[in-house]
Amino acid sequence: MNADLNSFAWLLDRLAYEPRRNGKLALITDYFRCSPDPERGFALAAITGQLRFANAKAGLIRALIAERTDPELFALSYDYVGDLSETVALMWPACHGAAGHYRPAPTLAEIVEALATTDKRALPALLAGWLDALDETGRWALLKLITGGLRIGVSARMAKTALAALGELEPDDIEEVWHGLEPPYAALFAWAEGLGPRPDASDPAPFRPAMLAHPLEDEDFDRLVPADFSAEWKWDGIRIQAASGLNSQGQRVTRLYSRTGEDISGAFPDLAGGIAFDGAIDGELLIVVDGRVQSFNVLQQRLNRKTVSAKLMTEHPAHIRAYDILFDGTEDVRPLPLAERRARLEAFVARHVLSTVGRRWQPAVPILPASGPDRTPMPSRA
Amino acid sequence: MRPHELLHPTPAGLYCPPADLYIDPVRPVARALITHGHADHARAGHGAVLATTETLGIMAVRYGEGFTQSRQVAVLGGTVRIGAVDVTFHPAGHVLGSAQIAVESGGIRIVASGDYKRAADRTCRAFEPVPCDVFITEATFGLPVFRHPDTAGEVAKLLSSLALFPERCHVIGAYALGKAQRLIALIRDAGYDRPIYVHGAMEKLIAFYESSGVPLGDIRKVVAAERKTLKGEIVICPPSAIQDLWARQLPDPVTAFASGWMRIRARARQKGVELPLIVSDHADWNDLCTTIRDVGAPEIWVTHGQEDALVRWCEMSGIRARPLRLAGYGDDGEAEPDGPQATP
Ligand SMILES: [Zn+2]
Ligand SMILES: [Zn+2]
Repeated sequence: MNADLNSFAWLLDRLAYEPRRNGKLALITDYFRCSPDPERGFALAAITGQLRFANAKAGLIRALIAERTDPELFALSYDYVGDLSETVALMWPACHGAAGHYRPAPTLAEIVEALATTDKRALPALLAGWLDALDETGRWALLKLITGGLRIGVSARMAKTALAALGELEPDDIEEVWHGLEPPYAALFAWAEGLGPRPDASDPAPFRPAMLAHPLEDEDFDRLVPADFSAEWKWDGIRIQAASGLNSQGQRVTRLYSRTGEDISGAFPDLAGGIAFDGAIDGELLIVVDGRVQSFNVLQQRLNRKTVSAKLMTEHPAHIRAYDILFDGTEDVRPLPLAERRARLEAFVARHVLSTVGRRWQPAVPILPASGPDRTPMPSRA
Repeated sequence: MRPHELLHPTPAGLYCPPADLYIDPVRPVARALITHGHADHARAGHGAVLATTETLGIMAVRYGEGFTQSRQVAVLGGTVRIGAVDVTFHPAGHVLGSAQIAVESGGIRIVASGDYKRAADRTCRAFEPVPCDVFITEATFGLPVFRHPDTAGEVAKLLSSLALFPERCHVIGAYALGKAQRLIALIRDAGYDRPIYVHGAMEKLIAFYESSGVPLGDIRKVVAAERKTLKGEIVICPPSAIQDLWARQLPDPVTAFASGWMRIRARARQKGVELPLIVSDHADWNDLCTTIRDVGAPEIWVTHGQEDALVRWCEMSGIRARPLRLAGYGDDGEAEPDGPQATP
């Protein structure tokens, strides 16, 4: 079996038609057995709803197909098929397999990576290139995945049961370590296959993939309904994730991560050393002197260092402006709606942070209505 | 002579006045030319029938020897003069014995394709493009969403499901004329040599194919008493039987369906299909367009399916085209999954 998206798409296709629980389990286990890491790990993440793609919306897909097909033929086809992703997947001009047009189909791992790091403006060309390289089923699966429209009738529990069936484990064994593990779960698969130790889910301060920010385009403003949104200031620092907890020996472990998961704690011992909460917070790393946020240039002097002098720490003290809370204690609050997370965040900051690290932390700014006086979006670094 | 004087639609079917004959008439007529044996093209009760020897044989299997008062064999490539019209049958690649019919008079040649496909099929003779002034094309899959995949991949899907679910019977709905035999041939060509079990309604036509020189391997009729023993086997039945009590008495069946319609998910789900196999007797969109270019006709009449999209494509390609609204066709080999199918 190949390791590209076409083979995962083949699984999704079969799952979408297979009504029986045992049939679905057999299909998923077979896929896990025949597919390599990290592809099967991202597949597990996709099935269990751990992958989210913010950028690809129906409008983009309509625009791509409109560039490639006659509008009347598209309208007749869409009317007949009744589903946008499926119509586009079937109508997309085939380059797949055509002589001189060969390009390898993308892997799911490539797609996850690229969608997390690609600017919104570069997305249409990227997506078109993938659609060119995939077959009909692959295109359907890709479009369903990135628009969040995948309906295959598989619960997270069922996926874990299929994973356990790779070897001697029970589904509950998987559940016990599941919390705290992140895609692509290579250690988990090795354990399930009896080829590795029980994965260490006891890391008290792991990195969690961050929800990224994207700049608004001019035309977005006409479509935005202010009541559906909240706003806050974008600060000119770097995105940071602060995670902390106690390890099995009862010692505190604190890590500061960049948005890509790089551990940058070493450059900011002043900040990391002052943290004594259990949980994970998403925010902006800033230099604040006498209550004033310093420019990005000032922050740059403290970035990319393995060690840092006491003088630099005193002159340019690091702060976090908290945006979001990911874990509250051991509770994963990422599935909660933003408004609930914001309430959790404010309580969390009031409870832990202000009492322990003082002015290094500031409570989140009040949420402003989107129709503020200044509609110019702040440039985003995230 | 203008094209419509040579051939035009009537309620009984396509009529050719200078020869006083009909092509694939839907009502009993004195003289009928039949493209192929599917029920919507080949009906009983005509005065005289001209068709290929296989099509005549299929009509006799389905309707009995008395299906017409007199019959005449059309040899592929050979011309028969009827009245002032030269009639020639050419292979259509659709099912065993299927033909396109060319009528020529007064310097005008019109080719009625009947149903056709361009994909490889060892159970019938391959389609041959015939240059003409007007080409009457079917359009069963005349939308750009229909691009049939390689049949080897579809058979691989079936065989991998058999390997994954060895305890389950795989029951495949396939039309009794053409689809069933082609599917069996494809499964054989993939190296599967176990017995293939068939519904009783399919036996006669399978035997007819074999007697016409299309070997299909070890074929066995499903016997009621043995149904329970068919775990891990392939059973082929008419589409209407896949949801019947008949199929549900097979051991934990995986419900498959072999049709070009299986490309559309809503269609497959509507019929409760768990293993859609996209195998078609008809040209897909690309092959319809390719064929229109191959025959090089300056005028195209489109019938039998999704006329509008194909007419639109012809217009975009600078080819004159119009839909030919003929009633009574389309219920044959690849009727929609919920269409009238039953047994032949
Ligand atoms: Zn037919
Ligand atoms: Zn037909």
